[in-house]
Amino acid sequence: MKFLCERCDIQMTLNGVDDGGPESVAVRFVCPECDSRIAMITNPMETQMVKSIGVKIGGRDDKLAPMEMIKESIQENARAKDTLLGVKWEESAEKRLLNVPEMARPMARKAIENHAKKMGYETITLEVMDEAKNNL
Amino acid sequence: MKKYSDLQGNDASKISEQVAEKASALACRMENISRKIAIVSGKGGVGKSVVTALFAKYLVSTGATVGVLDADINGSSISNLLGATQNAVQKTDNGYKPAADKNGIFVMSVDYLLDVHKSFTGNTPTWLGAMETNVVRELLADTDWGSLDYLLIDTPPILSRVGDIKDLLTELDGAVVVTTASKVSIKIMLKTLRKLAEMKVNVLGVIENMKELKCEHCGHKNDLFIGENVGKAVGYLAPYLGALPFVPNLEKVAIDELRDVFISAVDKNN
Repeated sequence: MKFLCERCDIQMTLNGVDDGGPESVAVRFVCPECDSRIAMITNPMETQMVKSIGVKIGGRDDKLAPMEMIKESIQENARAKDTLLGVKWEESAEKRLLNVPEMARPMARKAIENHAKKMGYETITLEVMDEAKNNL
Repeated sequence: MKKYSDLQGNDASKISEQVAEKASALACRMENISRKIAIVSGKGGVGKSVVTALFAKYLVSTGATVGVLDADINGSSISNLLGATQNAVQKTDNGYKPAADKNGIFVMSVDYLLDVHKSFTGNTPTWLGAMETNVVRELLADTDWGSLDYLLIDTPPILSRVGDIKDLLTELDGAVVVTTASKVSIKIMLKTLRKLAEMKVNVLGVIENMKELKCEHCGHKNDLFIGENVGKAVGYLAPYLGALPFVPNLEKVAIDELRDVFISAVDKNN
């Protein structure tokens, strides 16, 4: 993208990119002649679209590490999941869940998480799992 | 008012540059791979991943160096099918070294990055749209494949994704289409062949999977789908490479018995 200063009829230069998180990026431009400034703000869809092709507006100073985008999306997914239900799983609880047959595991997980949310628990432990099982 | 082309300064976003850089990195990585073949089906459940695994086993039995990319990232299964679950991928200065199964097939799958073989919790991302394509691009470009005779790409059972892979790999050597002899599968297979022709993908042929099941006690073979002839349906659209039986256990399969089907695919590629 390029921006034109209408007053001076010359191209504006990039003045910085402010990362507003997953839903917004501000791309700032300045006119080298008259110092007029604008900021282009991307909407969530535009922000995600740029992110999904693995590029950064304005370029990168550092080189992307191998599989970086994949790893970032895995971490984001984990964070979103925690945020959505507000519950975390203890490692021992995760391990016990593996005893549930694979096909039934997602349903079991959801039932336990719903129980934890209903009871106001922030973390799913073995005791929470027992409690959920007794209540089903 | 000036137009974009009138502004002589660089594109401030540098998006085009970054996209070109990524394409160049991918092309570099693919340079030492002699043949890249996509295994395709227009619908799920035809055993495309099993056929990919069998094809890889056949190729390695001929002495070829073989890599398999599981590009079906939202339904990955190749690492399990090839029994390469105990191994991990290793990060090096040159990218990630793929895992290797006991036959020496090099495997790359998101499963290794999700670590699902150790602890599958179901809490894995679903990648869609441009993100899905970019994940496949990263898996291709950031894996240190080394020199390979063949790279097989197990594609998702969505035809549009094959187009995306063809856009990524401008030198895709061909595609093998997998179907079963069910009416629905044949119908979708024909649609797939026409679409691949529009995309100008070189179709090496059609493999009919799960044609029959052999009784392990008496050896009698029963057709799994009655009444449909895949070879006849394919007609002039593509070479019919042959049929594979239902394979309940990849570990016990006698790959020599299946060689005729895969020899045809390789010959077409030559």
